[in-house]
Amino acid sequence: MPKQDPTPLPYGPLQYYQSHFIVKIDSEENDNVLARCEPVTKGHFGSKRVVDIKWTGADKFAEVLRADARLTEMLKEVMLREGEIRVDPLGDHIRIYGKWIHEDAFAFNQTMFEIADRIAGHIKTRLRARRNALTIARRCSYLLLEMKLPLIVLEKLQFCGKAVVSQAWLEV
Amino acid sequence: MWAAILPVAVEHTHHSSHADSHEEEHGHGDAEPIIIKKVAAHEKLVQKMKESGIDCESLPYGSHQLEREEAYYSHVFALSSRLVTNKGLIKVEDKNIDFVQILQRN
Repeated sequence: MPKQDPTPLPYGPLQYYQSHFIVKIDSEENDNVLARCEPVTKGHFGSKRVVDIKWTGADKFAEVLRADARLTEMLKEVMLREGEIRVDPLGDHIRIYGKWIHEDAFAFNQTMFEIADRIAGHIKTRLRARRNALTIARRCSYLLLEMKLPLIVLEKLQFCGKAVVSQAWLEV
Repeated sequence: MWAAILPVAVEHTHHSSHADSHEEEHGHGDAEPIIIKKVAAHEKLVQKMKESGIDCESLPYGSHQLEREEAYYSHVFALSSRLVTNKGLIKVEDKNIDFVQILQRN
């Protein structure tokens, strides 16, 4: 049971802390890794337990995380304590964090670190694959322009190239 | 506030004093000073992480760009905190995670 201050100040820092696990990656696609994880629970108070994990988020990233069975097992261990895990993209980095924890209970949690590391692995894999697909698409466009083909041929080739890259993009 | 919950290093020496009232109670003049070593939140966490076999180091306050961000949240999610205090940054090596930042709620 956390100790409550009997005379709390009306301003200033509170006795709650939060760890942000930060992935530093500069990509145009950072906004597509927005996700939130919530537990599906049964029972109340002492008998409350996590029976499932629900991922919601942008793009297909939530599906990737949902498909990771090992991640789901680890999440079931910590979700009663963490309550919710958010994957929050900002400009050049992505933050992974849980809820605020009272200072009495705030400590390093090995399982939570492994979960964040696993999510970070998925983020890096996905964003790097997308960045590579984008780089290939741009190089293809430059090559086609340098070949100085007749306009109609160029348009058809560019259309085919875009179709191939788009397909690769969807498969990532 | 954080220091209150951290274990403190206490050293006893033989050449200084406590309060006079203690001298009267115990009947001797040589009391022992108590040296309290404050450990910052992120430094304490680094110790625990190193015990778990994670290669990491604490960075000085305000030394990294991440600590000088205008906001630590994108505010896409509802009820994201607006008033928070940075309590330190930890650099993690050989992991997918690059940094761990400790925040305190205001």
